[in-house]
Amino acid sequence: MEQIIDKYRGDSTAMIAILHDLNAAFRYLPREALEIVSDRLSVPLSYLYSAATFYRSFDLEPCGEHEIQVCLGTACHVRGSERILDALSRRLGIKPGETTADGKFTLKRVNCLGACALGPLVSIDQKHHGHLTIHQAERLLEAYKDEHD
Amino acid sequence: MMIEVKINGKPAEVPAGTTILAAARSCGVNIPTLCHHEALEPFGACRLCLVAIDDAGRQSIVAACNYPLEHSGLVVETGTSAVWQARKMSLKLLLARCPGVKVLQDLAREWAVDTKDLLLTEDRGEECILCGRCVRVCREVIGKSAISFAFRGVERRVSAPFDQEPDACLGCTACAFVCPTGAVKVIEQNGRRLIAPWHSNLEQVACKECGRAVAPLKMLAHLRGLAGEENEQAGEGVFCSRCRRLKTAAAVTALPEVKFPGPFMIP
Repeated sequence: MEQIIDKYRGDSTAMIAILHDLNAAFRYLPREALEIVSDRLSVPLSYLYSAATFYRSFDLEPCGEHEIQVCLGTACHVRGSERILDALSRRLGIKPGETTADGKFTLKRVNCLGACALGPLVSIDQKHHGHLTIHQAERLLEAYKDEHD
Repeated sequence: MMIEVKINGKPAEVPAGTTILAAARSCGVNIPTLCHHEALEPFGACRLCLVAIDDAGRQSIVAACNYPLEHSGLVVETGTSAVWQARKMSLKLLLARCPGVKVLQDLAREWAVDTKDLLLTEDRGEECILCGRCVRVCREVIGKSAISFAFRGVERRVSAPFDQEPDACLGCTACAFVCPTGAVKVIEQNGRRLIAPWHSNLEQVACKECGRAVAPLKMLAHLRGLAGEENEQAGEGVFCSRCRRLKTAAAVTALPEVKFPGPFMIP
C-alpha cells in the first residue's frame, strides 16, 4: 500500500496509475485503500470513487481468482462477442460483472481491449484469446477449470 | 483585449475570453440554460443553450455557456430553426429521462415541443438531469467535494462515495439550493438534517432561546474555522435568525430615548 503510493511520490496526477496498481494488488479497490490514497494525495474521496466506478478496469468488489474479460468493442461486437458472453455467462452460472460462488472466476464485459483485428476477443488473466467461436470459448473455459482444479 | 462579434445581426464588443452566453446576455439576448449557474464554472451538460456560430465560413452548433469568444469576426445566431431543432431534441432527451420534472415540462410547453413519442417512456421517478450543479457547487464554492459523478453511460449518477453518508458533507445544502429540478431533497426532523440522495444525516444545533434547529454543528464548526475561531465553541450560544432579530430589537428598544430638538427645519 505505502510502497505503491511512494512509487509515485504522492503525485496526485498519478491517481489512476495508483488505482491500477492497487486493483492489481488487492484484486479490487477496498474502501480503506481509497481512503488512504485520498489522504496521502490530498484528493477528495469522491474523485477516487468517481474514477473507480467510471473505468471498467477497476473493481469495488473482490474479484475471482481468474478474470475473464469478454470484449464488446465495436469490432468484437459485430463478430458476435455478445453471444460468446452469453455462453460463458450460462456456463459459469453468473451474470457479467459477477463472481462465481467458489471465487474462481469473474466474468466481465469490457468495452475495447485494443486488439480489434483479433475479434471476437476474450482475455483470461490478461492473456488474449482471439478469433473465438462460442464452442472454442467454452472449451477454453473448461481447460481453465480443469487446469486449476 | 476587446473583440468584436455579431450576435443575431447586431455587433457587440466584449473582452476576449467572454463566453457566448455572457456576451449574449450582456446585450439583452436571452439564451435558455439549465446547467449554467452564475456562481459556477461552465459545464455544458444540459445542451439547452445551443447556438449556431459562423467562424469565417466554418459553421457549427455549439453550447453557448462554455464557448469562449477568442477573436473578432465570429457570427452568432441564437434563434435559427436549426438551433431550435437542436435545443428541442436536447429537451426531449432530458424529458425521456425525467418525464415528471416540472421545469422540463414547462419548457416543453413554452417551446411547443412535440412530446407524443415520449408518452411511451416510463416515469421511474428520476428527477436528476445530471447537470452537475450540485457536484460543482460542493467542489468550487464549498470546497468539500463531498459528492461526485459516479459510474458511466446510462448508469451515470451523482453519488456520495460508496453511496454512503459522506464524511466531507457539512450539511450546508448548497447542492439543494442550486439544483434546478428539486432532485436534492432535504428533510429536517428531530433535530437532524437529512440530505436524502447522499444519505447525509447531521446533528443540528438548537437555538439557545426557542430550541428550534438552526444549522448542522459540522457546518457551524466549518464557518467558525473560516472565521479563525475555535471549533470547540461551534454549537454554543447560537440563536436562530428570528430570535436574534428579536434580541437585537429588544436591545435597541432598551436604549435611552433620544430627544430631537423639535421638527427639522430647512433654514
